[in-house]
Amino acid sequence: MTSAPIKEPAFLILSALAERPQHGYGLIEDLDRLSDGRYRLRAGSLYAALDRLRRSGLIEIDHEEVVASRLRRYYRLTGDGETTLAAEAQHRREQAEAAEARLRRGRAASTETRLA
Amino acid sequence: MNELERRYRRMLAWYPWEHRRRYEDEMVETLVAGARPDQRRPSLGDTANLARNALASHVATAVRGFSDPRWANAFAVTGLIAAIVMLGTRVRSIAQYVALDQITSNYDSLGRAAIVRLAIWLAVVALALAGPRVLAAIAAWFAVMAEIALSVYMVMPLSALNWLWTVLLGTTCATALTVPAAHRAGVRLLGRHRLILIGLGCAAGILGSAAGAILDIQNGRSSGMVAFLPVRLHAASLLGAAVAVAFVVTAVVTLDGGVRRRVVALFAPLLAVFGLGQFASRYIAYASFDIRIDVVRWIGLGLTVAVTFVGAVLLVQRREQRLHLLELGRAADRSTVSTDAL
Repeated sequence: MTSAPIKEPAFLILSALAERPQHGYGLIEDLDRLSDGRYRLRAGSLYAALDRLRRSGLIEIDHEEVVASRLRRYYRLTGDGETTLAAEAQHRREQAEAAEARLRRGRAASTETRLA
Repeated sequence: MNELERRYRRMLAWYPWEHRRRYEDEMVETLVAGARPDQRRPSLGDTANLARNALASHVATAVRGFSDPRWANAFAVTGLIAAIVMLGTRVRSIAQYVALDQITSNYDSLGRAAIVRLAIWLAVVALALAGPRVLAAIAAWFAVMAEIALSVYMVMPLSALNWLWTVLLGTTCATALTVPAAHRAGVRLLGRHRLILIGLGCAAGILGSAAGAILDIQNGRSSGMVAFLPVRLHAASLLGAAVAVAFVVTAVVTLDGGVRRRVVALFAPLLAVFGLGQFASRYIAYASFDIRIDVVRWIGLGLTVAVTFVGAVLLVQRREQRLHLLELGRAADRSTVSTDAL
């Protein structure tokens, strides 16, 4: 398990694989949906991220199939991958809640200033 | 295989072989799956993305390659050899000054500087042999700074090229000792016999040099600094240097293959600069009698060091890939033979 914060594409890939094993092109499409179109990874960047995640032990090969004479390889989360994703999701949730709390306090303070 | 797939495969050849072996087929599938039905050529975006990631992959592969324990061992061995050779060159300088003092007393300040450098390198060798690598590295960096400061102090343009390789040898030693390695890894890997061989080689170089200087003086061939010019070296000096080189090379070539290749790669920039220095001394120095290393020449020397080192590291990687493939081929042949036998 890695303790360093993971980057956005890696977080999205782990999130996409949390539901079911997926192959390269399936991941590109799913990442697009998960990020509301903000992350449209190209194949070079996708496989660079997959290689890093595999080396870190967060994902592994689930199975392979041949479609139209071409290799399609499916990846899945490892146990460490699930733990890392859960920890990262919790961390991001806490950060989002902290940001929202600050925003609420800031707005309340500016309203009080205007009233005064 | 259609035209688009062929073009993508050609682009994936930009990646390191390790990456291609693992991902090429599925990357082609992903790229073709994402293409438009009528698409014949890779898009500009995909081309740029593949080029950028292929380059990043090469850099990552090279960086990962340095985590190979054989590099740490090679640095330890290189640090120790370089320290011993530096000590040898400093003893050799003292021997030459002692010889020159027989005819003149103009070399007092140079002699003192030589003694300071000898003392520091002696400390480096003692620390590197005894084990405290960090202290040895600190002493080596201090020695390199002393080498540079004293070379500048001596103000002899011609000597710059002659002495540059010793500064680079010192830098190689200090850098190699700075890289973390197991306790006394250099001593363990070289072993007593190779260390004795290197020591004997240095002794031969020192004796040859001193004998050459003395014989030159007795024959009236030398009357000062000309004795330091490589082209005026006495046959005894050349013989001593040849024995020294032969002994050090023997010690290196008998090392384990993985460490040996890396030690040679670490010494490659030094050999390139030494070669350049010798070339310049022989073919340029006598034309003008004054070699000044200006900015352009410094840049050229820096590039020589960088290009030689990168080239040597790539050659090591290429050689080991080939050995790995040969081993895989042999294993496949053995497996075929055993299947046929059944």
